[in-house]
Order: sequence, then C-alpha cells, then structure tokens
Amino acid sequence: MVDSKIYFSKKRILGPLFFTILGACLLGFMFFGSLLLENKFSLKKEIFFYVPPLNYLKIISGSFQSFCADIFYIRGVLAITDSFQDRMAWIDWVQKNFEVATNLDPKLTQGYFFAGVVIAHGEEGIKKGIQFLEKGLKQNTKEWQIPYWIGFNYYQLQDYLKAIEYYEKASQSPGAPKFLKSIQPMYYYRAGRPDLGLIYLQGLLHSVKDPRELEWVETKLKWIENIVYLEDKLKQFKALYGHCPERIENLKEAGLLEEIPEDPFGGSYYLDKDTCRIKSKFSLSEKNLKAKSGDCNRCK
Amino acid sequence: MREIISIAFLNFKQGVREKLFWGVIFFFAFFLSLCVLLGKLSPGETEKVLRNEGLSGIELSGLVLVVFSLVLSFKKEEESRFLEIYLSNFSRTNYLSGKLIGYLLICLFYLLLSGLGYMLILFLYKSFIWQVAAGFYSLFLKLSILICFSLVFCCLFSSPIISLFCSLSLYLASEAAYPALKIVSLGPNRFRLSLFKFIYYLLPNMNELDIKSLAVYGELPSLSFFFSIGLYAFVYILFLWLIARFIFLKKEY
Repeated sequence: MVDSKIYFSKKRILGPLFFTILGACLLGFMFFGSLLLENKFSLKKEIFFYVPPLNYLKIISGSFQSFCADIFYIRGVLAITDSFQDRMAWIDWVQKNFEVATNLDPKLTQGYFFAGVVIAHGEEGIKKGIQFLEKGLKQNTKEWQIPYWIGFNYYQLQDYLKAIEYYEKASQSPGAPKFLKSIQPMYYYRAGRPDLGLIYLQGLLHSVKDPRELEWVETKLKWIENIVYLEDKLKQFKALYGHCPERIENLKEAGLLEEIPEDPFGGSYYLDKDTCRIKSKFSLSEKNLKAKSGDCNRCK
Repeated sequence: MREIISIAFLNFKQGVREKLFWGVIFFFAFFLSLCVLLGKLSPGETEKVLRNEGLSGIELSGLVLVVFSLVLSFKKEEESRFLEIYLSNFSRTNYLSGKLIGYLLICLFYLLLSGLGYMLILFLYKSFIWQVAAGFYSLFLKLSILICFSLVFCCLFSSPIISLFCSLSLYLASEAAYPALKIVSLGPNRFRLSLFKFIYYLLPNMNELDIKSLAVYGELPSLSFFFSIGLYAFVYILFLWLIARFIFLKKEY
C-alpha cells in the first residue's frame, strides 16, 4: 500500500502565511488609522464657492457645452441642499450655478424653475427669482413655463396685474396649457379690477370653439358679470348714503337691486367690510369645476 | 485594392484584439453607470442628462481609443521592424490607405458596441429616442477626421508622445475655435478677427459637425445637412490622407 501522506515544505507554508498575516495587519492598521485620523483631527475645511466665468467655460467646453451645462445643473441641484447662514448668499450661489447651466444650454428649462421658483422665498428672495427668470426669458422666448413662473412669483408678491401680464405672455407661447387663458379674470378680480376681467372674458368667448371650454368661459363670465354688477350697485349705495353697507343684503333693502345674483360656481357673493368690496366664496367651488373640466392639474 | 483591404483587416483585427480597446470598452461601461447616477441627480432633466452624458462619453472614449491605438500601433510596427516587412511587400500608399481604413473600421466597431450599450441603458430608463442614433453619424465623422490627423502626425514625427500631444491639442483647438472666434469678434481688433477666422475655417469645423446638443432633444437638422457634413468630412479626410502620404513617401524607414 502506498503512503498517502502529503508533505509540505516549511518554506511553502510559512512564506504565504507570513504575507497573509502581514497583509491583514496592514489592512487593519489602514482601517483603524483612518478612523483615528477622522476622530482625532477633524479639520474644518473651507468650501470654495466658485463658478467660473461663462466666457471661459464656453471656450473650454467647445462642442461639450451641453455636457458642461448638465454638470452645472447637477451642481445647482446639489447646491440647494447647502446650508448658508446668509439666505441671500445661498440664493446667489444656487442661481450662479443654474445661470451657467442655462446659459450653456438654454433648453434646460427646469434650471429656471429651481433657481427662480423653488429657492425663492420671502419678498427679497422672490424678487431675486423674478430677476433670474427675466434674464432667462430674454434668451428663451419660446418656453411658456418661464413667463408662467414669473407670473407665479408676482402672484406670490400679490402684484396681480403683473401676474396677469406674464400669464398672458405665457398663454401666447407655443404649447401653453389652456387654463392659462381662463385663469386671468380671477387675477383681475383679485387685483380689484373685475371690469377688466369681464372685458378679457368677453374677448375670450369669441375665440373659444371647444364646447366644454365655451361652457367654462361662460360660467366665469357670468360670475364676473355679477361681481361687476354688484360693485356698481355698491358704488351707488355709497354715493347715496356716504358709507359702506353692513351686509350685501343692504343693497336689496335700499332698493338698488331686486335679487342678489346666484354664484354660478355654487358659492355665494358677500361684502368684505374691511375693503368694502364684493367678494365671492369661489375658491372651493372653482377647484371642483376646474377638476371637472379637466383644466386644472393641481386641483385634483 | 486587395492589398489595401488585407492591410485594413489586419489592422482592424490587431486593434480589436488589443487590451486598450477592451480597456476603453470597460471604461465606457463604467461611465454609463455614472451617467445613470448623474441622471438621477438631475430632477426634471433626467432623460436629457442621460442621453447627453452618454453621447459625450462615447465621443471622449472613442477619441482616446483611436488616437492612442493608432499612434501606439504605428510606433510598435516601426520598432519591431514589422513596418519594413510590410513595406517590402506593399507599396507605401497602399500601406497608409490600409492603415487609415483599418482604423476607421475600428472606430465604427467601437461606436457600434458602445452605441448598443448606450441605447440599452436608454431603453431601460425610458429615455430612448431614435434621434440619438443620428448623433453617432456626426461622432463618426469627427473621429474619422481625428484619425487622419493622428496619421499625419505619426508620419511627421518619430516620437509617439509628440504625435499624441499634437493629435489631442488639435482636437482641443478645433473644439475651442468657434467660441474663441465669437469672443474675438466682440473686440475691436480686425486683424485678430481675420486671423481667428482663418484658423477657424482651416481647422476641422467641430462646431458644425457636432449635433449632440440637438439630438438629445430629439431635434435633427435636414437631410441635406447630413449629406453636406459627410461630404465636408470626406474632403477633409482625403486632404489629410494626401499630406500623410506625401510625408510617408519622403521618409526613410
């Protein structure tokens, strides 16, 4: 019988064993060394907030401009999460990144949204957002979203007439959703000029062909006509009695109107004593109606 | 003609078998996964970023592949005396033409492989539009011109480092020529403007050849544009081949 024992020379075993142990020790040292360095010397590094000048970037990027734009777009998105003590400096930093991105590739529309709307909070921030979007509008005149976002910012600032101006601009751009046209009378109403909203809707009535849209415009027209009518009666009341009535029913009691018109949105008209103006409890009913007509995406 | 075809296929086989080729393919696969990550970091523009970064990655990796592969193979053949064996059996013109066609085939093959991987990723992330395929045509034209430039530099210089450096510098110069011209045109110096215009039209017009930024948005120029850039690239390649041939005929090996 053959002896089946296998013999290993010491050299063949000890050599690899030694190097395996040495490797494991070094790996452990590296791991714990890194941990120790991290805990012992946590250096406070200054972050360098720098965006290269656009002209230089254009030279360097060549036909990779769109590629560079994407990089700055991502930088901008990441910059949104940066923490700054000075809010305006943070807005500047984010906007600078998106400015470079949108200059290198003006079709990066979402960049305008982030820099002009998402980060814009507070009056000063919104104004900065508007400035940014205005610049974007100059180089990207065909995108309906940019004037829409400017309008939205003006709406937040409660400058309704300016909001209308930009919604009007947005509604005329290619690809603009239809609701942008019919939303404007509401802002005229909020700006205290329902008479202008009435004129606008009367003009819109002649340009709409779709029966569902027509029904929608007619409802709004009826709604704003009633407001204009009631405000007119309110003026007459003030001229007669020299003061604002307590309730809307006072107009009926004074014989200025036979019936208080019905709100076609299902709400009702009322008198806001603070401003002495006719208002409507339209908001909830309008949302329902918009959702029904499929005009409004956000309402549902 | 048979001689040219056999040299071309020999170069193609050699180029495809090289580690560099598969190294670049591996690099590109890694780059594609980075593109997916970049796409996820770009809310609102994910699809565009994925398409654009992928095309740019193909161009850059293709550039590295064709320039390095051509320059290194030229040098290797020169040092290992393969060049002498080639030249004792084939004419210099045929050798140079075969080499050029061989590397154009390598470039085409690389674009095909990387294009398949790229489009697969676009399909998976629902970002595919057929227009991006048209972007490959312009990439091929750009890289073809660059192959010719590398060939000229390989014939001109005996040092591969200088050939590499010149090829890459020329690529950078032609990429930067258009925006540089735009900036110079804002200044008052007419002489400088004329000089830059001359340089711009002399260098390959990468600005016109590039349609990446359009293709990623699904917009394409007319068919006549594609025909025109094809013709332009063909003439440019022919001109560079003539220069390379002239130098190669004069050189002693």
